[in-house]
Amino acid sequence: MTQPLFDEIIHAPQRLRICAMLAAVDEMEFGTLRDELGVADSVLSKHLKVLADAGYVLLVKPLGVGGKARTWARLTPAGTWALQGHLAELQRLIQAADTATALAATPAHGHPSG
Amino acid sequence: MSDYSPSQALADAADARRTATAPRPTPRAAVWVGALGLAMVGGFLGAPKPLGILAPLGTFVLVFAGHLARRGLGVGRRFSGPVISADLVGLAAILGLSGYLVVSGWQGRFGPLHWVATVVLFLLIGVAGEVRRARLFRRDNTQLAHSQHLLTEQRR
Repeated sequence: MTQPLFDEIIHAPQRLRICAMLAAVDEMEFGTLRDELGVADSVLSKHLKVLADAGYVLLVKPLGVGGKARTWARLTPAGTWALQGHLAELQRLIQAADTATALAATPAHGHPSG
Repeated sequence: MSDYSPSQALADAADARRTATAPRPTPRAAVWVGALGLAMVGGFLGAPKPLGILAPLGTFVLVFAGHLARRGLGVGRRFSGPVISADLVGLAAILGLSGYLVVSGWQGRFGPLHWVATVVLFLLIGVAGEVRRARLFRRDNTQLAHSQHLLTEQRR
């Protein structure tokens, strides 16, 4: 079972989207990721480096057609685990916030008047 | 955690996941260039001999169409599960029709009708591609509206 665990590395908006996209496929090519996110090459490179340094993403560069190298990114088992834990923690936070809101709205928990 | 709320983050993650797996409408240019390429292969191969030599040009046109469609058809993503593409079924049918034109042309049965059939083939592939594009665009828009609705509900 996935343990809810907040992950600062994954929580950055673009990195969260990168991880969520990679979780849905085996691997994704750099250019496709860049186009889907709508960011510049340098921005994507920076985020992928952070994820790769954390051991969450594996970057491979096989030689493509005509010897042209393309970068492919895939989520590692550690990355998959971290993403699932982070998403579980987000859900837990939302539930906790909902519960707190519901309790605050209940009259029984208000201060007695008079 | 900055101002990136958990509900917004979850919505973004779900949206990104959907984006990664959603089929994309083939770019319009790729549809028509592909139709031209297939019709050229079928048409020129089945044409009288001097023109038959132009058939390989159709292959080059097809390669160019593939280049145009690269992102549209989802190349650049390798999916976890088995993906049966309706495109492949359609392509097989079109190649079958092209093959029929080729054989008929070689046998010299069609004459001018062969060229008419080639033009019809070109229009058929193009229109079929357009219909598919329209269907995918409609589905994309429906999904987008649905996710925006969910996000609005969550924010409330």
